[in-house]
Amino acid sequence: MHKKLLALLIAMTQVMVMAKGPIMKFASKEVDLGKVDPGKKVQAIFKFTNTGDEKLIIKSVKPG
Amino acid sequence: MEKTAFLPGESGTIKANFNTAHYNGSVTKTIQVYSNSDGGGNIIRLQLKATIVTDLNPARTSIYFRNVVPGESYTERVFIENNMHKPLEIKGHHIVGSVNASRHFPLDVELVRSKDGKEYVSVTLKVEKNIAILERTNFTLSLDTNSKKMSKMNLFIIIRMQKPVLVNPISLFMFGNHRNAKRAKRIQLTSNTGNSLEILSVQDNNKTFTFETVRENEKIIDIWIGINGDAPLGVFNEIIRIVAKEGDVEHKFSIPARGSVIP
Repeated sequence: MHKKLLALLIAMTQVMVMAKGPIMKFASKEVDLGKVDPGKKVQAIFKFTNTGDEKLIIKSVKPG
Repeated sequence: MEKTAFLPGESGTIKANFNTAHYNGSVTKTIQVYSNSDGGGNIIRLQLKATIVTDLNPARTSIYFRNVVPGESYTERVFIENNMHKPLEIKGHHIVGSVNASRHFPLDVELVRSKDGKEYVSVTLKVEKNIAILERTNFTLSLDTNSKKMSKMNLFIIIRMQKPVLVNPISLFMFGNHRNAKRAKRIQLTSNTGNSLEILSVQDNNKTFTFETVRENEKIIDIWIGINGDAPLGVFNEIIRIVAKEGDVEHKFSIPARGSVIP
């Protein structure tokens, strides 16, 4: 019984180690645009890389 | 976002656009990214920071006119910190957001200069005498200035009308009230407008109560709530409905009343 459980545990850890899944890694999660004039339209660019081993799918991006 | 799927090792960008109009000082905006990263259902929060440097800084960006009564006028002043190295000029103003508001609440805008050179925008609100009762109205007052960086300076205007009739209390808890009790609780109605007040009807759903109206004066009426002799014993959950007339206007109130009847 104990052996079976141990085997199962080892199998589970192996699966977890093997499959990283998609990972969205940002170069920086914070962008400071510094001093800006009022009434201007400015843009912040956030760079990221999928450092995982599966396809990354972005579902939505919204303010909040 | 044009592209939404990224293979392992692939890179991409998220572009966040930010319009600095109506912002002042340091601003932080949050962007939420929903993806299947780390197993899905994951939110990654990004932050965009900026410091909006203006040459005109109003001491406050909103003006709150409280307890406004029809026919009256009210004036509020906002200090403007001027870093333009020249006197401030207000070239014009208009209301954004509510067409009705500009009709019902005409605003006079004036630039006031104190003896020591401090500049204020003075906003006078004249409330129509025959205004339909609007409890709360918000709109933006946009001022045209001689500033290059802030040619439009916005002030957010909040108007809260005084309630024409005050009801106190707004809910009743009547625990252990005896059957046939004549005066167990009181609801007081007060006219806030200077108009006379009249009670047209008072009712409850199940005839649990008896009502007695007592006039204090032209503007204040008390409704005494007793327990009906036929009211069933035990817990009740009632709504008392009052119709009152203030001047020419009818007002309806629903007041929840909970409690129990004991012999």
